[in-house]
Amino acid sequence: MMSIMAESITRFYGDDLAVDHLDLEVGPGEIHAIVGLNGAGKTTLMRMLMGMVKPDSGRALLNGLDVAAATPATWADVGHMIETPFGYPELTVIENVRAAARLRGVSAGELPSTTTAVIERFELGRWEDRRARALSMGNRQRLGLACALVHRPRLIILDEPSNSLDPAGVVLVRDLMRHEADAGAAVLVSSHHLDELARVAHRVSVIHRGRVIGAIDPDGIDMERNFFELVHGAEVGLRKGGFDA
Amino acid sequence: MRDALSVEFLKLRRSPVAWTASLLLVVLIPALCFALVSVVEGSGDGLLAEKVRALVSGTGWVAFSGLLDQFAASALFVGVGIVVIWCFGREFSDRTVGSLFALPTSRGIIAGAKLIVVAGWSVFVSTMVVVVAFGFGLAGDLGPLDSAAIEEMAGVLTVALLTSLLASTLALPASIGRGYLPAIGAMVLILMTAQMAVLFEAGAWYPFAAPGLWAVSGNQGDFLVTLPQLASAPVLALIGAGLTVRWWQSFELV
Repeated sequence: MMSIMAESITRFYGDDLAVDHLDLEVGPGEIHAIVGLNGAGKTTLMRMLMGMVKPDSGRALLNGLDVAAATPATWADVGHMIETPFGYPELTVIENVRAAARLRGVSAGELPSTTTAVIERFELGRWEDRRARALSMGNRQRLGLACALVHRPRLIILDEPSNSLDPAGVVLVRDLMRHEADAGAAVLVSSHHLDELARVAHRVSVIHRGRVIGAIDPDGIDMERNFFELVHGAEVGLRKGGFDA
Repeated sequence: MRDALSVEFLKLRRSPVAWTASLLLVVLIPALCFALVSVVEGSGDGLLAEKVRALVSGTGWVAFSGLLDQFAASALFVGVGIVVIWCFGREFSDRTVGSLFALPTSRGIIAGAKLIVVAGWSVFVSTMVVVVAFGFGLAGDLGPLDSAAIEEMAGVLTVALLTSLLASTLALPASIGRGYLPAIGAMVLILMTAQMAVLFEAGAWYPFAAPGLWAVSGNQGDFLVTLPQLASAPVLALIGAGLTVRWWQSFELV
Protein backbone atom coordinates (compact mmCIF):
# COMPACT_ATOMS: atom_id res chain seq x y z
CA MET A 1 0.00 0.00 0.00
CA MET A 2 1.34 3.42 -0.87
CA SER A 3 0.49 6.98 -0.02
CA ILE A 4 1.84 10.39 -0.90
CA MET A 5 1.64 13.70 0.90
CA ALA A 6 2.61 17.32 0.33
CA GLU A 7 3.32 19.06 3.62
CA SER A 8 3.24 22.87 3.43
CA ILE A 9 5.18 22.59 0.19
CA THR A 10 6.40 25.77 -1.53
CA ARG A 11 8.25 26.48 -4.73
CA PHE A 12 9.29 29.71 -6.44
CA TYR A 13 10.39 30.11 -10.05
CA GLY A 14 12.40 33.31 -9.77
CA ASP A 15 10.01 35.79 -8.18
CA ASP A 16 6.96 33.79 -9.22
CA LEU A 17 5.40 31.78 -6.43
CA ALA A 18 4.28 28.60 -8.21
CA VAL A 19 3.21 26.56 -5.17
CA ASP A 20 2.45 28.24 -1.86
CA HIS A 21 2.49 26.22 1.38
CA LEU A 22 0.28 23.57 -0.15
CA ASP A 23 -0.97 20.54 1.78
CA LEU A 24 -2.38 17.50 0.03
CA GLU A 25 -2.65 13.79 0.66
CA VAL A 26 -3.54 10.71 -1.35
CA GLY A 27 -4.10 7.44 0.45
CA PRO A 28 -4.29 3.82 -0.73
CA GLY A 29 -7.38 3.03 -2.78
CA GLU A 30 -8.16 6.71 -3.30
CA ILE A 31 -8.45 8.77 -6.46
CA HIS A 32 -7.66 12.37 -5.56
CA ALA A 33 -8.19 14.82 -8.41
CA ILE A 34 -6.79 18.33 -8.60
CA VAL A 35 -8.29 21.00 -10.80
CA GLY A 36 -7.25 24.54 -11.49
CA LEU A 37 -6.73 27.13 -14.17
CA ASN A 38 -3.62 27.07 -16.33
CA GLY A 39 -0.59 28.04 -14.24
CA ALA A 40 -2.35 27.25 -10.94
CA GLY A 41 0.56 25.06 -9.79
CA LYS A 42 -0.78 21.56 -10.49
CA THR A 43 2.16 20.37 -12.58
CA THR A 44 4.76 21.94 -10.27
CA LEU A 45 3.08 20.17 -7.34
CA MET A 46 3.23 16.83 -9.16
CA ARG A 47 6.84 17.44 -10.15
CA MET A 48 7.78 18.07 -6.52
CA LEU A 49 5.95 14.94 -5.41
CA MET A 50 8.00 12.93 -7.93
CA GLY A 51 11.33 14.53 -6.98
CA MET A 52 11.69 16.28 -10.33
CA VAL A 53 11.77 19.68 -8.67
CA LYS A 54 13.00 20.37 -5.16
CA PRO A 55 10.69 22.36 -2.87
CA ASP A 56 12.00 25.64 -1.48
CA SER A 57 10.27 24.75 1.77
CA GLY A 58 7.95 22.03 3.04
CA ARG A 59 8.20 18.36 2.24
CA ALA A 60 6.98 15.78 -0.24
CA LEU A 61 6.49 12.49 1.55
CA LEU A 62 6.25 9.07 -0.02
CA ASN A 63 4.94 6.51 2.46
CA GLY A 64 5.84 9.00 5.19
CA LEU A 65 9.46 9.41 4.06
CA ASP A 66 10.97 12.32 2.18
CA VAL A 67 10.83 11.79 -1.57
CA ALA A 68 14.52 12.74 -1.83
CA ALA A 69 15.35 9.65 0.26
CA ALA A 70 13.12 7.22 -1.66
CA THR A 71 14.82 3.93 -2.51
CA PRO A 72 14.71 2.11 -5.87
CA ALA A 73 12.30 -0.39 -4.29
CA THR A 74 9.91 2.46 -3.47
CA TRP A 75 10.14 3.94 -6.96
CA ALA A 76 9.42 0.50 -8.43
CA ASP A 77 5.87 0.92 -7.10
CA VAL A 78 5.36 4.37 -8.62
CA GLY A 79 4.07 5.22 -12.08
CA HIS A 80 3.74 8.72 -13.43
CA MET A 81 3.04 10.64 -16.57
CA ILE A 82 3.60 14.34 -16.08
CA GLU A 83 3.39 16.61 -19.13
CA THR A 84 5.19 14.78 -21.96
CA PRO A 85 4.35 11.07 -22.37
CA PHE A 86 7.25 8.59 -22.44
CA GLY A 87 8.12 7.53 -25.95
CA TYR A 88 11.30 7.65 -28.01
CA PRO A 89 10.37 8.47 -31.61
CA GLU A 90 12.91 6.10 -33.17
CA LEU A 91 11.62 3.08 -31.21
CA THR A 92 8.50 1.08 -32.03
CA VAL A 93 5.57 0.91 -29.64
CA ILE A 94 6.60 -2.50 -28.30
CA GLU A 95 10.25 -1.42 -27.95
CA ASN A 96 9.20 1.67 -26.01
CA VAL A 97 7.02 -0.36 -23.66
CA ARG A 98 9.82 -2.89 -23.11
CA ALA A 99 12.31 -0.09 -22.46
CA ALA A 100 9.93 1.52 -19.96
CA ALA A 101 9.36 -1.83 -18.25
CA ARG A 102 13.09 -2.50 -17.91
CA LEU A 103 13.76 0.94 -16.42
CA ARG A 104 10.90 0.30 -13.98
CA GLY A 105 12.44 -2.92 -12.72
CA VAL A 106 10.32 -5.52 -14.51
CA SER A 107 12.42 -8.71 -14.61
CA ALA A 108 13.54 -10.22 -17.91
CA GLY A 109 11.35 -13.27 -17.28
CA GLU A 110 8.22 -11.19 -16.81
CA LEU A 111 8.97 -8.81 -19.67
CA PRO A 112 7.08 -10.56 -22.52
CA SER A 113 3.86 -11.17 -20.56
CA THR A 114 3.92 -7.71 -18.94
CA THR A 115 4.49 -5.98 -22.26
CA THR A 116 1.76 -7.92 -24.04
CA ALA A 117 -0.71 -7.28 -21.23
CA VAL A 118 -0.25 -3.50 -21.18
CA ILE A 119 -0.34 -3.23 -24.99
CA GLU A 120 -3.63 -5.13 -25.00
CA ARG A 121 -4.93 -3.05 -22.11
CA PHE A 122 -4.32 0.20 -24.00
CA GLU A 123 -5.46 -1.29 -27.32
CA LEU A 124 -2.14 -0.60 -29.01
CA GLY A 125 -1.71 -4.04 -30.59
CA ARG A 126 -2.46 -2.78 -34.09
CA TRP A 127 0.43 -0.33 -33.87
CA GLU A 128 2.92 -2.34 -31.79
CA ASP A 129 5.51 -2.48 -34.59
CA ARG A 130 5.03 1.14 -35.62
CA ARG A 131 7.64 3.71 -34.62
CA ALA A 132 6.43 6.18 -32.03
CA ARG A 133 7.16 9.11 -34.34
CA ALA A 134 4.53 7.80 -36.75
CA LEU A 135 1.75 7.58 -34.13
CA SER A 136 -1.14 9.99 -33.83
CA MET A 137 -1.17 12.31 -30.79
CA GLY A 138 -3.84 10.19 -29.16
CA ASN A 139 -1.90 6.96 -29.62
CA ARG A 140 1.28 8.63 -28.33
CA GLN A 141 -0.71 9.50 -25.22
CA ARG A 142 -1.87 5.89 -24.94
CA LEU A 143 1.74 4.75 -25.36
CA GLY A 144 2.86 7.17 -22.62
CA LEU A 145 0.20 5.81 -20.28
CA ALA A 146 1.12 2.21 -21.15
CA CYS A 147 4.78 2.96 -20.35
CA ALA A 148 3.91 4.71 -17.09
CA LEU A 149 1.72 1.87 -15.88
CA VAL A 150 3.42 -1.19 -17.41
CA HIS A 151 4.70 -2.37 -14.01
CA ARG A 152 1.29 -2.10 -12.26
CA PRO A 153 2.37 0.62 -9.78
CA ARG A 154 0.70 1.13 -6.42
CA LEU A 155 1.01 4.92 -6.63
CA ILE A 156 -0.10 6.58 -9.86
CA ILE A 157 0.36 10.24 -10.73
CA LEU A 158 -1.17 11.42 -13.99
CA ASP A 159 -1.12 14.98 -15.31
CA GLU A 160 -3.94 15.57 -17.79
CA PRO A 161 -4.07 11.88 -18.82
CA SER A 162 -6.97 12.34 -21.24
CA ASN A 163 -5.18 14.95 -23.36
CA SER A 164 -5.53 14.15 -27.06
CA LEU A 165 -7.47 10.95 -26.34
CA ASP A 166 -10.59 10.02 -28.26
CA PRO A 167 -13.79 9.27 -26.28
CA ALA A 168 -12.90 5.56 -26.14
CA GLY A 169 -9.48 6.46 -24.74
CA VAL A 170 -11.02 8.73 -22.11
CA VAL A 171 -13.29 5.91 -20.95
CA LEU A 172 -10.34 3.52 -20.95
CA VAL A 173 -8.27 5.81 -18.69
CA ARG A 174 -11.20 6.37 -16.39
CA ASP A 175 -11.84 2.62 -16.06
CA LEU A 176 -8.17 2.01 -15.51
CA MET A 177 -7.91 4.53 -12.66
CA ARG A 178 -11.02 3.10 -11.02
CA HIS A 179 -9.73 -0.46 -11.42
CA GLU A 180 -6.31 0.34 -9.96
CA ALA A 181 -7.79 2.28 -7.04
CA ASP A 182 -10.17 -0.59 -6.32
CA ALA A 183 -7.09 -2.81 -6.19
CA GLY A 184 -5.54 -0.49 -3.59
CA ALA A 185 -3.50 1.98 -5.64
CA ALA A 186 -3.29 5.63 -4.65
CA VAL A 187 -4.10 7.83 -7.64
CA LEU A 188 -3.43 11.55 -8.04
CA VAL A 189 -4.78 12.99 -11.27
CA SER A 190 -5.14 16.46 -12.72
CA SER A 191 -7.57 17.48 -15.40
CA HIS A 192 -9.43 20.43 -16.84
CA HIS A 193 -12.50 18.28 -17.46
CA LEU A 194 -14.65 18.52 -14.36
CA ASP A 195 -17.29 16.12 -15.61
CA GLU A 196 -14.62 13.51 -16.28
CA LEU A 197 -13.27 13.87 -12.74
CA ALA A 198 -16.75 13.70 -11.26
CA ARG A 199 -17.17 10.21 -12.69
CA VAL A 200 -14.05 8.79 -11.14
CA ALA A 201 -12.57 10.86 -8.27
CA HIS A 202 -13.25 10.32 -4.58
CA ARG A 203 -11.98 13.82 -3.78
CA VAL A 204 -11.57 16.89 -5.95
CA SER A 205 -9.31 19.69 -4.67
CA VAL A 206 -9.24 23.09 -6.34
CA ILE A 207 -5.81 24.67 -6.72
CA HIS A 208 -5.42 28.36 -7.42
CA ARG A 209 -2.26 30.46 -7.32
CA GLY A 210 -0.34 27.56 -5.83
CA ARG A 211 -2.71 26.83 -2.95
CA VAL A 212 -5.59 24.49 -2.28
CA ILE A 213 -8.51 26.89 -2.00
CA GLY A 214 -11.23 24.34 -1.43
CA ALA A 215 -12.84 21.12 -2.52
CA ILE A 216 -15.66 20.22 -4.85
CA ASP A 217 -18.06 17.40 -4.13
CA PRO A 218 -17.66 15.00 -7.06
CA ASP A 219 -21.22 13.79 -6.50
CA GLY A 220 -22.62 17.30 -6.36
CA ILE A 221 -24.41 19.14 -9.11
CA ASP A 222 -22.95 21.96 -11.20
CA MET A 223 -19.29 21.38 -10.42
CA GLU A 224 -18.30 24.05 -12.89
CA ARG A 225 -20.24 26.70 -11.00
CA ASN A 226 -18.70 25.55 -7.67
CA PHE A 227 -15.24 25.68 -9.21
CA PHE A 228 -15.58 29.24 -10.45
CA GLU A 229 -17.14 30.38 -7.17
CA LEU A 230 -14.10 29.06 -5.32
CA VAL A 231 -11.68 30.70 -7.75
CA HIS A 232 -13.58 33.98 -7.70
CA GLY A 233 -13.74 33.92 -3.91
CA ALA A 234 -9.99 33.36 -3.71
CA GLU A 235 -9.33 36.25 -6.07
CA VAL A 236 -11.58 38.57 -4.05
CA GLY A 237 -9.84 37.45 -0.85
CA LEU A 238 -6.47 38.11 -2.43
CA ARG A 239 -7.46 41.66 -3.42
CA LYS A 240 -8.60 42.28 0.16
CA GLY A 241 -5.18 41.42 1.45
CA GLY A 242 -4.32 37.72 1.18
CA PHE A 243 -5.61 34.20 1.07
CA ASP A 244 -7.71 32.92 3.90
CA ALA A 245 -8.20 29.47 2.45
CA MET B 1 22.87 -1.15 -14.74
CA ARG B 2 22.07 -4.02 -17.13
CA ASP B 3 18.57 -2.68 -17.78
CA ALA B 4 19.83 0.84 -18.46
CA LEU B 5 22.58 -0.49 -20.75
CA SER B 6 20.06 -2.55 -22.67
CA VAL B 7 17.73 0.45 -23.16
CA GLU B 8 20.54 2.82 -24.16
CA PHE B 9 22.00 0.26 -26.57
CA LEU B 10 18.59 -0.15 -28.21
CA LYS B 11 18.22 3.63 -28.58
CA LEU B 12 21.67 3.92 -30.16
CA ARG B 13 20.98 1.01 -32.51
CA ARG B 14 17.81 2.68 -33.74
CA SER B 15 19.38 6.13 -34.00
CA PRO B 16 19.71 7.59 -37.52
CA VAL B 17 22.32 9.98 -36.08
CA ALA B 18 24.56 7.10 -34.94
CA TRP B 19 24.16 5.19 -38.21
CA THR B 20 24.96 8.24 -40.32
CA ALA B 21 27.98 9.13 -38.18
CA SER B 22 29.23 5.51 -38.29
CA LEU B 23 29.03 5.31 -42.07
CA LEU B 24 30.60 8.71 -42.65
CA LEU B 25 33.48 8.09 -40.25
CA VAL B 26 34.23 4.48 -41.21
CA VAL B 27 34.03 5.01 -44.97
CA LEU B 28 34.88 8.66 -45.56
CA ILE B 29 38.03 9.02 -43.45
CA PRO B 30 39.93 6.09 -45.01
CA ALA B 31 38.55 6.79 -48.51
CA LEU B 32 39.48 10.47 -48.44
CA CYS B 33 42.95 9.81 -47.03
CA PHE B 34 43.56 7.07 -49.58
CA ALA B 35 42.45 9.35 -52.41
CA LEU B 36 44.85 12.05 -51.21
CA VAL B 37 47.74 9.60 -50.86
CA SER B 38 47.02 8.37 -54.38
CA VAL B 39 47.43 11.95 -55.59
CA VAL B 40 50.83 12.17 -53.87
CA GLU B 41 51.93 8.73 -55.07
CA GLY B 42 51.03 9.65 -58.63
CA SER B 43 53.23 11.73 -60.85
CA GLY B 44 50.84 14.67 -60.89
CA ASP B 45 52.23 18.10 -60.08
CA GLY B 46 48.95 19.99 -59.99
CA LEU B 47 47.85 22.35 -57.24
CA LEU B 48 46.13 19.58 -55.24
CA ALA B 49 49.22 17.34 -55.38
CA GLU B 50 51.38 20.23 -54.18
CA LYS B 51 49.05 20.98 -51.29
CA VAL B 52 48.78 17.33 -50.20
CA ARG B 53 52.58 16.88 -50.38
CA ALA B 54 52.85 19.68 -47.85
CA LEU B 55 50.63 17.67 -45.49
CA VAL B 56 52.41 14.33 -45.64
CA SER B 57 55.86 12.97 -45.10
CA GLY B 58 57.18 9.78 -46.62
CA THR B 59 55.39 7.54 -49.03
CA GLY B 60 53.12 4.48 -48.98
CA TRP B 61 51.83 3.38 -45.56
CA VAL B 62 53.74 6.18 -43.79
CA ALA B 63 52.07 8.88 -45.87
CA PHE B 64 48.68 7.15 -45.57
CA SER B 65 48.86 6.79 -41.79
CA GLY B 66 50.11 10.37 -41.46
CA LEU B 67 47.01 11.63 -43.25
CA LEU B 68 44.79 9.27 -41.25
CA ASP B 69 46.25 10.70 -38.03
CA GLN B 70 45.37 14.24 -39.06
CA PHE B 71 41.88 13.40 -40.25
CA ALA B 72 41.06 11.04 -37.37
CA ALA B 73 42.06 13.61 -34.77
CA SER B 74 39.49 16.13 -35.99
CA ALA B 75 36.81 14.07 -37.78
CA LEU B 76 36.37 11.59 -34.93
CA PHE B 77 36.11 14.37 -32.38
CA VAL B 78 33.30 15.93 -34.42
CA GLY B 79 31.61 12.63 -35.42
CA VAL B 80 31.73 10.96 -32.02
CA GLY B 81 30.98 14.31 -30.39
CA ILE B 82 27.76 14.67 -32.39
CA VAL B 83 26.60 11.21 -31.26
CA VAL B 84 27.49 12.01 -27.63
CA ILE B 85 25.60 15.31 -27.88
CA TRP B 86 22.60 13.56 -29.44
CA CYS B 87 22.62 10.84 -26.78
CA PHE B 88 22.43 13.30 -23.87
CA GLY B 89 20.87 16.39 -25.45
CA ARG B 90 17.98 14.49 -27.03
CA GLU B 91 16.43 13.74 -23.62
CA PHE B 92 15.91 17.47 -23.21
CA SER B 93 15.13 18.38 -26.82
CA ASP B 94 12.64 15.49 -27.18
CA ARG B 95 11.30 16.27 -23.68
CA THR B 96 11.74 12.65 -22.57
CA VAL B 97 13.83 13.59 -19.55
CA GLY B 98 10.83 13.91 -17.20
CA SER B 99 10.11 10.21 -17.68
CA LEU B 100 13.58 9.37 -16.37
CA PHE B 101 12.68 10.64 -12.89
CA ALA B 102 11.05 8.61 -10.12
CA LEU B 103 12.34 5.28 -11.45
CA PRO B 104 14.06 2.40 -9.67
CA THR B 105 16.85 2.93 -12.22
CA SER B 106 18.52 6.13 -11.08
CA ARG B 107 19.41 8.96 -13.45
CA GLY B 108 23.09 8.53 -12.53
CA ILE B 109 22.95 4.93 -13.72
CA ILE B 110 21.17 6.00 -16.91
CA ALA B 111 23.88 8.61 -17.59
CA GLY B 112 26.58 6.01 -16.87
CA ALA B 113 24.90 3.59 -19.27
CA LYS B 114 24.80 6.27 -21.96
CA LEU B 115 28.54 6.91 -21.54
CA ILE B 116 29.40 3.20 -21.63
CA VAL B 117 27.26 2.53 -24.71
CA VAL B 118 28.68 5.52 -26.61
CA ALA B 119 32.22 4.56 -25.54
CA GLY B 120 31.66 1.02 -26.83
CA TRP B 121 30.30 2.37 -30.10
CA SER B 122 33.23 4.78 -30.51
CA VAL B 123 35.78 1.99 -29.90
CA PHE B 124 34.01 -0.05 -32.60
CA VAL B 125 33.97 2.88 -35.04
CA SER B 126 37.62 3.75 -34.32
CA THR B 127 38.65 0.16 -34.92
CA MET B 128 36.60 -0.03 -38.09
CA VAL B 129 38.25 3.14 -39.43
CA VAL B 130 41.62 1.39 -39.11
CA VAL B 131 40.31 -1.92 -40.51
CA VAL B 132 38.79 -0.20 -43.54
CA ALA B 133 41.99 1.84 -43.96
CA PHE B 134 43.98 -1.43 -44.02
CA GLY B 135 41.60 -2.62 -46.73
CA PHE B 136 42.17 0.49 -48.84
CA GLY B 137 45.93 0.29 -48.30
CA LEU B 138 46.17 -3.38 -49.28
CA ALA B 139 43.87 -3.02 -52.27
CA GLY B 140 45.71 0.10 -53.40
CA ASP B 141 49.14 -1.53 -53.10
CA LEU B 142 50.77 0.97 -50.76
CA GLY B 143 53.74 -1.31 -50.27
CA PRO B 144 54.51 -4.27 -48.03
CA LEU B 145 52.58 -4.51 -44.81
CA ASP B 146 55.68 -4.75 -42.64
CA SER B 147 56.06 -4.11 -38.92
CA ALA B 148 56.74 -0.40 -39.54
CA ALA B 149 53.44 -0.04 -41.41
CA ILE B 150 51.57 -1.90 -38.67
CA GLU B 151 53.17 0.34 -36.06
CA GLU B 152 52.03 3.43 -37.98
CA MET B 153 48.49 2.11 -38.16
CA ALA B 154 48.53 1.25 -34.45
CA GLY B 155 49.34 4.92 -33.89
CA VAL B 156 46.24 5.86 -35.91
CA LEU B 157 44.13 3.59 -33.70
CA THR B 158 45.60 5.17 -30.57
CA VAL B 159 44.77 8.68 -31.80
CA ALA B 160 41.28 7.57 -32.83
CA LEU B 161 40.58 6.04 -29.40
CA LEU B 162 41.98 9.00 -27.46
CA THR B 163 40.02 11.44 -29.62
CA SER B 164 36.82 9.44 -29.09
CA LEU B 165 37.38 9.52 -25.34
CA LEU B 166 37.84 13.28 -25.45
CA ALA B 167 34.60 13.66 -27.41
CA SER B 168 32.74 12.01 -24.52
CA THR B 169 33.37 15.14 -22.44
CA LEU B 170 30.71 16.87 -24.59
CA ALA B 171 28.12 14.94 -22.57
CA LEU B 172 28.52 17.50 -19.81
CA PRO B 173 27.66 20.67 -21.82
CA ALA B 174 24.82 18.75 -23.55
CA SER B 175 23.43 17.94 -20.08
CA ILE B 176 24.00 21.24 -18.30
CA GLY B 177 22.94 23.15 -21.44
CA ARG B 178 19.86 20.87 -21.66
CA GLY B 179 20.01 20.35 -25.40
CA TYR B 180 22.12 20.24 -28.52
CA LEU B 181 23.15 23.82 -29.17
CA PRO B 182 25.22 24.60 -26.05
CA ALA B 183 27.21 21.41 -26.63
CA ILE B 184 27.72 22.19 -30.32
CA GLY B 185 29.03 25.58 -29.18
CA ALA B 186 31.38 23.85 -26.73
CA MET B 187 32.62 21.56 -29.50
CA VAL B 188 33.44 24.50 -31.76
CA LEU B 189 35.15 26.27 -28.87
CA ILE B 190 37.27 23.20 -28.10
CA LEU B 191 38.33 22.85 -31.74
CA MET B 192 39.27 26.52 -31.91
CA THR B 193 41.20 26.51 -28.65
CA ALA B 194 43.04 23.32 -29.68
CA GLN B 195 44.20 25.07 -32.86
CA MET B 196 45.27 28.11 -30.85
CA ALA B 197 47.16 25.94 -28.34
CA VAL B 198 49.12 24.27 -31.16
CA LEU B 199 49.75 27.64 -32.80
CA PHE B 200 51.26 28.99 -29.58
CA GLU B 201 53.25 25.79 -29.05
CA ALA B 202 51.28 24.83 -25.96
CA GLY B 203 49.38 21.99 -27.63
CA ALA B 204 51.17 19.26 -25.69
CA TRP B 205 49.78 20.74 -22.50
CA TYR B 206 46.24 20.97 -23.82
CA PRO B 207 44.48 17.59 -23.52
CA PHE B 208 42.25 18.22 -26.55
CA ALA B 209 45.28 18.89 -28.76
CA ALA B 210 47.83 16.45 -27.32
CA PRO B 211 46.78 13.21 -29.09
CA GLY B 212 46.63 14.84 -32.53
CA LEU B 213 49.93 16.59 -31.96
CA TRP B 214 51.56 13.37 -30.78
CA ALA B 215 50.44 11.55 -33.89
CA VAL B 216 51.10 14.23 -36.45
CA SER B 217 54.58 15.10 -35.17
CA GLY B 218 55.63 11.48 -34.91
CA ASN B 219 56.58 12.55 -31.41
CA GLN B 220 59.80 14.12 -32.66
CA GLY B 221 61.31 17.57 -33.03
CA ASP B 222 59.75 20.59 -31.39
CA PHE B 223 56.42 18.90 -30.72
CA LEU B 224 57.45 16.26 -28.21
CA VAL B 225 54.42 15.04 -26.27
CA THR B 226 55.28 13.23 -23.06
CA LEU B 227 53.32 10.25 -21.76
CA PRO B 228 51.74 12.25 -18.88
CA GLN B 229 50.64 14.88 -21.39
CA LEU B 230 49.13 12.19 -23.58
CA ALA B 231 47.52 10.57 -20.55
CA SER B 232 45.76 13.85 -19.78
CA ALA B 233 43.21 12.92 -22.50
CA PRO B 234 41.80 9.80 -20.79
CA VAL B 235 42.08 11.51 -17.41
CA LEU B 236 40.00 14.42 -18.67
CA ALA B 237 37.48 11.99 -20.17
CA LEU B 238 37.18 10.22 -16.82
CA ILE B 239 36.70 13.52 -14.97
CA GLY B 240 34.07 14.53 -17.55
CA ALA B 241 32.27 11.20 -17.14
CA GLY B 242 32.28 11.51 -13.36
CA LEU B 243 30.92 15.06 -13.46
CA THR B 244 28.25 14.08 -16.00
CA VAL B 245 27.01 11.15 -13.88
CA ARG B 246 27.02 13.33 -10.78
CA TRP B 247 25.08 16.09 -12.54
CA TRP B 248 22.47 13.60 -13.80
CA GLN B 249 22.09 12.15 -10.33
CA SER B 250 21.18 15.47 -8.77
CA PHE B 251 19.69 17.81 -11.39
CA GLU B 252 16.10 19.00 -11.31
CA LEU B 253 13.71 19.98 -14.05
CA VAL B 254 13.28 23.67 -14.78
